[in-house]
Amino acid sequence: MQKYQFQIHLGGIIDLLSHHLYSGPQVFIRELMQNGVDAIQGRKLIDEEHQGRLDIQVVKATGNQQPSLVFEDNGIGLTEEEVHRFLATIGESSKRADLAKQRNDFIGQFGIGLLSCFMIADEILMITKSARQGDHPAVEWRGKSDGTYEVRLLETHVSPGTRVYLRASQGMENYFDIEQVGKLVHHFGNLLPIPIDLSEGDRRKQINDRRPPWEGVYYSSDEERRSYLEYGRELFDQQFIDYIPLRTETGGITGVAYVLSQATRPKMKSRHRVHLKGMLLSDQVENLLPDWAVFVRCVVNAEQLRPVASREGFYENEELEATRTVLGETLRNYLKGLADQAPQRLQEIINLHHMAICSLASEDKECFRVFGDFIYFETTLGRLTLGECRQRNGILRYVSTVDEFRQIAQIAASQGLCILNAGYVYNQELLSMLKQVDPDVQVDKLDAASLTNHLEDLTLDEREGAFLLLRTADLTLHPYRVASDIKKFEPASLPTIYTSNEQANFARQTRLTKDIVDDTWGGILNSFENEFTNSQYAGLCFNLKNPLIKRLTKVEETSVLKQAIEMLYVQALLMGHHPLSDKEMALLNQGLLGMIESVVEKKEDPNNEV
Amino acid sequence: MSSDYRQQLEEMYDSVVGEYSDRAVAVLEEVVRMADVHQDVEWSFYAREALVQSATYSGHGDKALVAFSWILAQIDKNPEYEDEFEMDHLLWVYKWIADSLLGFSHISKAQILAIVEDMDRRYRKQGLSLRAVENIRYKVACEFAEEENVQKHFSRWETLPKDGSQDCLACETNFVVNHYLFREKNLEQALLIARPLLEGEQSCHSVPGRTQSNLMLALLKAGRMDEADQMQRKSEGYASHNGDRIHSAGKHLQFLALTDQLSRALRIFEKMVAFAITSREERNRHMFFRGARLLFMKLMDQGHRTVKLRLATDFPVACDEQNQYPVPELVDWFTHEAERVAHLFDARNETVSYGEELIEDLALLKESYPLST
Repeated sequence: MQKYQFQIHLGGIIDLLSHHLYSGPQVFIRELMQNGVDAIQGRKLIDEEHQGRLDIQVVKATGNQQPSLVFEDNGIGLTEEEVHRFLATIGESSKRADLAKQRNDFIGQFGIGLLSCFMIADEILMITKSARQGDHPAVEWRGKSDGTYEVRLLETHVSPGTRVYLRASQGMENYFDIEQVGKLVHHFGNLLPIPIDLSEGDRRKQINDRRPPWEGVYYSSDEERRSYLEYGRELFDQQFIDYIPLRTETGGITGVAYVLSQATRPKMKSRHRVHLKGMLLSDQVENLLPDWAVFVRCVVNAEQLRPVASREGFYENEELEATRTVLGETLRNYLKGLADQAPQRLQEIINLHHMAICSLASEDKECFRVFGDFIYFETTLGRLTLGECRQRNGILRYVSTVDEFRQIAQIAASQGLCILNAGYVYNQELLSMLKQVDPDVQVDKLDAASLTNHLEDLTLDEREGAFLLLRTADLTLHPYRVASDIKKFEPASLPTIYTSNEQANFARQTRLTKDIVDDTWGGILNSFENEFTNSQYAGLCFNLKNPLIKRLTKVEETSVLKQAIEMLYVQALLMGHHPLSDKEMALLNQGLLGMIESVVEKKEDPNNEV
Repeated sequence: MSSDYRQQLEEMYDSVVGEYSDRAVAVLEEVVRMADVHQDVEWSFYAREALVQSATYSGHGDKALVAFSWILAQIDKNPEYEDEFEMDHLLWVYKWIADSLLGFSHISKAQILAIVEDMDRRYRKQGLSLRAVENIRYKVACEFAEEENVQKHFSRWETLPKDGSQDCLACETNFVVNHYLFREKNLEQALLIARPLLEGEQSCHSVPGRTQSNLMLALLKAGRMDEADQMQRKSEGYASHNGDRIHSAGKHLQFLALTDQLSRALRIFEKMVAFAITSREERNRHMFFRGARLLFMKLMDQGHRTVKLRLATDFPVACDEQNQYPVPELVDWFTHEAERVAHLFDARNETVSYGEELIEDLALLKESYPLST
């Protein structure tokens, strides 16, 4: 039986590479540089003293000739046999993992890298001379994007290394413009340890002549700081407030993390600029640091991490995980160091990146111990750091929702009570962490509704006096599912306090929604109200210390009492930021009109003037 | 009112959006209230939309439903909102809401059918495929044990086009798995269809955790203990994680009770019971109580009179100072609750299946399902 082989359609592979593997055609520059770097590495293995060099020439368009590029390295070069081999290995498998494996092999990588040039050129001409076999003649390889290639041996003398000639295909001229090439070479290769020269006619310059700050030697810490921050500003085009040098064994990382000068929000992702052995992988790497570390932006070089097939990110493997842990450790140590040496800068960072710091401290005991006291909370006495709260109070009291906090804030403040609002993300975790770190601290949860229980009770006589008011209030407020109570509390200027809990709020929301939905939904919400929420009452607590309430206890006419109670109820809702139902809105309107009328009546009747 | 309320809204919203917990729900409810007070329609929508998602994913279907019905009503009253609001997304969410109605025994069949009609009408108006609606009709037929309709809606569902308004791919696969598991009683076929889920090709928020929790019990009943054990271990993390998982957690309690792994069952019970007790999602809570009932019955069968539990204080059964709970009282309480709710559902559905399940559970308890290890 005859065996056939699938014909690999090279055009298809190139399309796959350019549209699915790489982020765009610009990576051909990186691929060529990578080939050059690898080749120089190879040559160093046989000649330790060898000085590597990459040379890129741009040739402008002339007449009907498209612009072209010559890319030259003085690396190991290829023999004829190797030239035949590099293309053969491509397309051996369609699996991405295998593609990545081929990339770890010099010849395989060379072919894949070279192919990427078809994204911008229709033809590739390569002249290469192997340094390994001195008597082997130079090889000329000419490949076309349809997958055909020619090879011939040259008789002329050529020095070892590889030269790649590319002519722009239609529409790709931009990638052959010297400015553009210069930018791309710098973008990808500015950390490469091998000098890269770019030239066009007589113009020539070295692209990567500046070394990163972590390779520098400094005579003073001021100089170091200046150098680091300046590098960061130029690289990212933004200001940073501090820098943290990074160096790890795992993953072989060197680099720097810059502390952002703009406030960060939770769940933001910081994007880092990551190089692999000097070559830029991507400036959008997200998985380099632990999730909480959103407040820094890094530029690093990694020696050991494994890139994905596109070379634009890392494999999420154990090594990366370990690297992340070590880098997280470095950032932690930095923050802890600040607590000792520059507490003010730590406070500044915490102010800017509060959420990130909370997230870290809520899951890391040691960190909590070091800078837990710097974290601030909203309290009834204003915004205070946890440290300040602890100094002020033997017992830390908190409420667990924002709504409850608002209910009690005014009363608590007027009594000088410090109550923490733990309704925001991480707050409760932080408080329970506080308990773990310092078991002697007493942390109590307060229930807003029960707060009124702790307020001062009435005397028996006062109770008798207030009876009619309360009785009328119960009758008046029953349709609104509100129960009434009366106590004595500060501030005396506050006539009532409206308290409700999660269920009562939900019951209220269900009733409000029922007012606006159609019959189909109305029936369903009605069933819900009957099933779950009918027994849920909110509370309206009158304050007998308030002069108006005191006067109301003397009023005997229930219609007047009713109107006053309705107004007080609506006012309490508004103060508590509760939206009004149509019925409650009507109460407000009637009450206001009634008041205006009675004022006008008094004006019209001179005998009645007070 | 102050002009910075919006900043406050945004801060609160940002601090919890994408989080599925009681706290996130509480904060979003507060954002809704504040937006309503300021008559800030944009935020009233925005916050409710987040609330629907957060509430659904943390086991508060009741709250999702109220917020959702508000959004629908506002759009009906002000058709101009339709352009501003992502109608496709809203309708996408509709299936969660419609599905959740089945789980409340006090919602009648007529009410549910009216909602499905409403959903149908809105999907047509928006020009969407009725695949998602047919999916709900299927579930309604299952709940009310209308076997003919079950088949009819399943066949129809299969032929309706996918246009993005249907469930995600993983959920759809899970749906077919369930059909073969619970309707066709064809475990082999179900396992075959479940392969992309079990091999990790398809997944989402609740799949394959939910699939595995179903398959483990079917495998157990088929006597395929090793596979059942594997399924259980793989999905335990899913089932003991959040308030929206109490249904699956109940199945794990059942499985672990039947296979005599009581200490592992108690750990899940401790972790999840607070969610179950406070949940208003009746059918999901019922599944948890069913599992808890078997767990404590098994404990009692083995002669345990008390059990130590670390629980929140507002648990309906009292304990002594050493956190010792009397097992017979636990059995009584969970039996009573399970029977009460089973009765409510059977009364609404005009079925007997909820009651029969409880009897079948007792029969299972008499069997022995030893694990090989």
